[in-house]
Amino acid sequence: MRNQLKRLASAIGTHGFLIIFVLISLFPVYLMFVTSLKSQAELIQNVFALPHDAKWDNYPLIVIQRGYYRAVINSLLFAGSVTIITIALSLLAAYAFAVFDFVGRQLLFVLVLVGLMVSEVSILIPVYQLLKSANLLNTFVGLVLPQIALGLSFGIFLMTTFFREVPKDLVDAARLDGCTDLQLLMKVMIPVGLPAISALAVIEFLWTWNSFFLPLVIATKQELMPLAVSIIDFMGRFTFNYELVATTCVIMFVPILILYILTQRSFRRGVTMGAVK
Amino acid sequence: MKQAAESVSIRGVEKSFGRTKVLKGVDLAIEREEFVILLGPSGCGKTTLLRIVAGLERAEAGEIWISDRRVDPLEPKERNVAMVFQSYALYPHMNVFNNQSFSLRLRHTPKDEIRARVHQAAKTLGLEQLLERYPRELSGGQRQRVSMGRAIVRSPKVFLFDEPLSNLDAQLRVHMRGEIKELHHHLNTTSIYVTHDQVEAMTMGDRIVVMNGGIIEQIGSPLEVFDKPKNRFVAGFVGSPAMNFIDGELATNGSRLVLRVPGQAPVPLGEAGTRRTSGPATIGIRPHHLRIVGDGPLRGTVKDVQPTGVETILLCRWADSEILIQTTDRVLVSAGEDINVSADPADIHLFDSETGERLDA
Ligand SMILES: Nc1ncnc2c1ncn2[C@@H]1O[C@H](COP(=O)(O)OP(=O)(O)OP(=O)(O)O)[C@@H](O)[C@H]1O
Ligand SMILES: [Mg+2]
Repeated sequence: MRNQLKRLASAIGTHGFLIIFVLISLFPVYLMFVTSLKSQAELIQNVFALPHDAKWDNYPLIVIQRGYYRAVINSLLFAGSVTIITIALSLLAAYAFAVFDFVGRQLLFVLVLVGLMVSEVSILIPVYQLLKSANLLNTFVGLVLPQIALGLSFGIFLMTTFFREVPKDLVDAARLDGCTDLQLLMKVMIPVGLPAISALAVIEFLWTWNSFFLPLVIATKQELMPLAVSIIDFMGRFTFNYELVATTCVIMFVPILILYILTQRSFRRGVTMGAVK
Repeated sequence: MKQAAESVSIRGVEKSFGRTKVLKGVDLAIEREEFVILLGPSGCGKTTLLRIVAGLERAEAGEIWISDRRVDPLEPKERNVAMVFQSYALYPHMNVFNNQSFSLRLRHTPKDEIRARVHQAAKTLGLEQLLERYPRELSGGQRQRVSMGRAIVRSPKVFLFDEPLSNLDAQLRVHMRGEIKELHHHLNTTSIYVTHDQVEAMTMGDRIVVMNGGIIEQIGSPLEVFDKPKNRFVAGFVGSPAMNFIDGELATNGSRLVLRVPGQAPVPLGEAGTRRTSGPATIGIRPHHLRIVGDGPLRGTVKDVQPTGVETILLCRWADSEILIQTTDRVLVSAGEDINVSADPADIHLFDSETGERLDA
């Protein structure tokens, strides 16, 4: 009896804590969503409550009338290609670091790790200069390249760590079975590393999707501008269209949600990998 | 699936990892269709030697020949050698069928043939019901079989086994031992089998190769190695419980050779037909060769009695020496009693105390 009560109390405690935690985490999302459904006038009178009269027009207004479908496409292309290229390059580099023994491997790997410490903001100006002299400002290539470079350190680091965990016997068995180096990568390492790869894909996509500073500086033309940057359109010097910013944020939020749901299972496995065998 | 077996010849192989020399010149000729056991303590270089034969590791010196082909410059896949790993090393993302057919698919073998070969191997190993399963859905014994099946379907010229049974429980190990042996006869391949299990070594191999510290100590049939160990290391390593060693001085008593052991009566060693008749020497007596008799030359105190049902093991001690006695008689002694033991001179091995080399023929 005593024990049961104790267990009940602890269950209530844990769940209560989790519920509060979820509410706190979800509150900004809620606020963002309801704000996107309000008119400017209503927003001023009533910030937190549900809208009296949901104003769905904000969505078509932004996406179609103001032509932001363009920015959505830009963002998808931008994040998509950065993700794919970063993963492809990370896999190749990580495979070499983890499986081959070559001169300077340690040193190179340390250099890769140093890349983890480089912040986006600190290299903004040099990158700008570099792209300018290469005539890559306001081009898709110029937008994508630095983003890949910034993400590569983490990608290589994550995949190398994972590939090193692949049992040596497995690699040897594949060699004896007749795999070439490329076949070993494609048919054994990548399938085995899928949880880590999908984790990396989600992280890389999110990060690029939300990336702000680099695109802000590099892609000033409307045709190239990703969604995250286009939000500043609503932040004038004297006015600030909260409801339109919120609408754009919701639009930005949707693909992330979809991506997370799609990869949720292997992502969770990836995040906790190594914790359990 | 049958294929003419090939001989394997390992010539002067040396290998170092960093500054440690792991193999110090290994020579070994293996006949076609032979089942050779590599036996030795942990870290003596068994796995390394196997990996060099497979091509997974490069030796600094020496050659590997498979029949009349020198293979050490070749890639693993060009050697047509299959290996069964201690960890099984199954591909976790492939089901049993795909695990077994992987090597054939890499070689673009026709689909029908792949199917036929995998099913044949599955039948031999009793895996037919499991072809759709993934490794994580298999028991240890089943995984072991799949990894053997993966080796069989390729119909390799040489089979390498690296302690394939060490992860199985005792019962399954006995069963698989029989199966591997049967498989070997059935397939007529040449096999090199690494183990540090005494029983596996004695029961499975045509020949045993005893390794220690990167060199081969002795090569011979299981009984040869057991009955005529070439040196003290082999004598002590092969056989369980291990051989007893007693140090003393050689001396002659008329035409008979004896060993003088401090604090004991001289131990008779038979006719003086050995290379030496004086100086320090070590005798080795297997525990089951020692008998408890009232007038035995060695006298000690029983420290422990371990009846196992079939046999009884006694631990007996004098001064700072300790010996094991193994007997199938139901002995009526208990700890603390003094006993006398003796052994038939024919069952006593004689070794040089310094070099460890065998002294008697
Ligand atoms: N890749 C390696 N790098 C450095 N040292 C190694 C490597 N592989 C093996 N060694 C060393 O070489 C020696 C022989 O190793 P090996 O694996 O051949 O032993 P083994 O006889 O198979 O032992 P066990 O019975 O424990 O499997 C050991 O001392 C080991 O530490
Ligand atoms: Mg080993």
